[in-house]
Amino acid sequence: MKFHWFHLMPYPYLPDDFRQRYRSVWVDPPPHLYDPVKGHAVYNDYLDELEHADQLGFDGICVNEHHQNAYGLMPSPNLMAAALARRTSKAKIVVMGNSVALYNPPIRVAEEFAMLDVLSGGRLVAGFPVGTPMDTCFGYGETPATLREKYREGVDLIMRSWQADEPFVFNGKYTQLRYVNVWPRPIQTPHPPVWIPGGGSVETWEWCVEHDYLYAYLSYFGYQNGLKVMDGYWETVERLGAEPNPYRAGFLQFVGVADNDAHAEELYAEHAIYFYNRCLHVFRGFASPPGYTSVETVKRGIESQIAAAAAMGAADLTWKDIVDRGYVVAGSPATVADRLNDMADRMRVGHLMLLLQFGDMPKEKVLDNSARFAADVMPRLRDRFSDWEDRWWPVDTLDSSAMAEPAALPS
Amino acid sequence: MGVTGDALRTDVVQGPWGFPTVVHRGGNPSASGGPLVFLHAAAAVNPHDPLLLALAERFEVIAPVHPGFADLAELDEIRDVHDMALYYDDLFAALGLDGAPVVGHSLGGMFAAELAAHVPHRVSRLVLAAPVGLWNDEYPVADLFITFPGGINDLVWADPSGDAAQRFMAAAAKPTGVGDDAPVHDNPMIATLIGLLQGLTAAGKFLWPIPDKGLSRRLRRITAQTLIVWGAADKLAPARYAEDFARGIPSSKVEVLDNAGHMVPYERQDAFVDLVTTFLRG
Repeated sequence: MKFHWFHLMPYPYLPDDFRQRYRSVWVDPPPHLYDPVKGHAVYNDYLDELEHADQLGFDGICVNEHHQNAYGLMPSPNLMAAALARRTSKAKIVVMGNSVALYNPPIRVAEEFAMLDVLSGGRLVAGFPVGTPMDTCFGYGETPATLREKYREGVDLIMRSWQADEPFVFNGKYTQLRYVNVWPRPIQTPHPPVWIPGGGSVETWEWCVEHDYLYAYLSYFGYQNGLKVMDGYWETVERLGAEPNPYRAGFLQFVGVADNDAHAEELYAEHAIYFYNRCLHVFRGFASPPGYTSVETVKRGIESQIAAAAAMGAADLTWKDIVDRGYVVAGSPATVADRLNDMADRMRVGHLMLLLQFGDMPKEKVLDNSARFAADVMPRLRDRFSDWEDRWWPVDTLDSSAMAEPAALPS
Repeated sequence: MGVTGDALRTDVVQGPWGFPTVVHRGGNPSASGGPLVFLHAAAAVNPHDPLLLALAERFEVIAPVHPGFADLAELDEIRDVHDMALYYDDLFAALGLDGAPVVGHSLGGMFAAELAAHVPHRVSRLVLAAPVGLWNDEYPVADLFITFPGGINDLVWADPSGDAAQRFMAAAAKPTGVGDDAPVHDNPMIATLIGLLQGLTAAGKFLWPIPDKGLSRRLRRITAQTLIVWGAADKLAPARYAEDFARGIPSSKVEVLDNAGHMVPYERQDAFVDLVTTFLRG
């Protein structure tokens, strides 16, 4: 099993009455709530936390893309990945990822990812999300009905551009280019591993399996709630006759490691409550514009969606709600390892993305949570799935003799 | 009469555009001036639509369902408003209509105006009921798409609990006349929502993120005499847009009706049908 340290980069200074005063954390939170001087310290703390994860032996460090979002301060994850490439040397850099339809032309993604792969010595994992409706349809004005088709055409163009031996012409529906020719080329051949973060649609599962891309389900609601989606994915893998290799799947889980349950509440409750009650305060009108999800998918899930929408308006969550529902796995190292072993048994995901910073958790606690996880939990899970080959992982990373020294401050 | 009971009849029209087009039609074939074409709004339209039935008492009415409303794949090769205008040019040809009066509501008003601007001879007279397609920063068109599903009625009706709204929704929950006519869902509320979802998905292709797709540059090409009708209490597209359309269309006049929102042809159905009758027969 592999462990990836994932940062959302939330803004930790949303006011206590945010939920009451404003309609959404995403798309239209008032700009005056962001203080860029505080933001300077926040960004630097967050990069420290990711660099620390490299030193602790996490396999990957993950960044992702959101727009106009107070809990995701990375409109450009590639900028953060570039900063990390210069200050780390072991962990793979998992950009989770670039929302392809938002780049015009999408060849920009092929270029920047190639830059990151070369800069990092072949450590890039290339993530291609469609992007949420908040990011794509509202923030960037993409038409819901054509978003997915435009996205897939863009991914196809990027993949071709990384593997072409000479410049080629691309006459697409959404992009037309006379001369496609990506410089620099990525170190990894034929291309960096491709990971697709997605929701639970049959169309996405089939597309991932057919193209041999890793499918990752990035839910904020814990593995018990994610089982149904991953079951659907594994059924698709089986139906299409693909190998049921756990490494073709990823999942995201919030974790808080402490001495015991009471200590976990003391350490982490306020930060989880900040995340679930302020950071997930998204205006419903932005969450499902007509056309973002296919009518067929909506028809299949309409009753559960109506129920979920009703639940979203419910009262504030407590720490007990958050833990009982499995959103955050928290407790002693043995408790956390038991739960994650149960997840591995039932969900069969080889790639576990961990949110060890959440909400307004300060740096000292984050470093401590990360160190506890690396020392006391990771070893208990490390051997899971060791009899499977991970074909969704960088293999062309330069060896230490060829790898440049990590950047250091001048003495 | 083509009206059986409380519904128009439903035909399928084939043409070079490559998919079957559903057309609701009926009414008084002896009415002077030939058939009237009605182009519907972003809600799905069906043969029980109260406005269509009212118009059919005075005119022969042809009400095609827009591409994408039955099957989104119909829009694969109709990528923008230009393609849509030419699609309607093809459909009018297939229906044997050279210069027909056209009544368009909201999204249908936008398509009607685009057809009249692209192919002026297809439209003999034009009625635009709260059309979309223009933009003014001082009085923006509301974001219809963030109101789905819970807030849409409050946005489009002046009185969301009034009789007109109730009649409209009762009709909208009836079979669409499309396909095997099986209800899309056994819960009428969900069935209505799914119809609206499909319609808004298709409409979004022409209205997202704001509905200004260049119509303001083309309105000058419209040769048909045009009647512009607006509800004074339109919360979706404020009534001030009536003057913007009137300024752009060379031969046009404006009627603003009180006690009506964006659904003005339904909320003031009798007054609207009278205005259309006077305008088309005058």
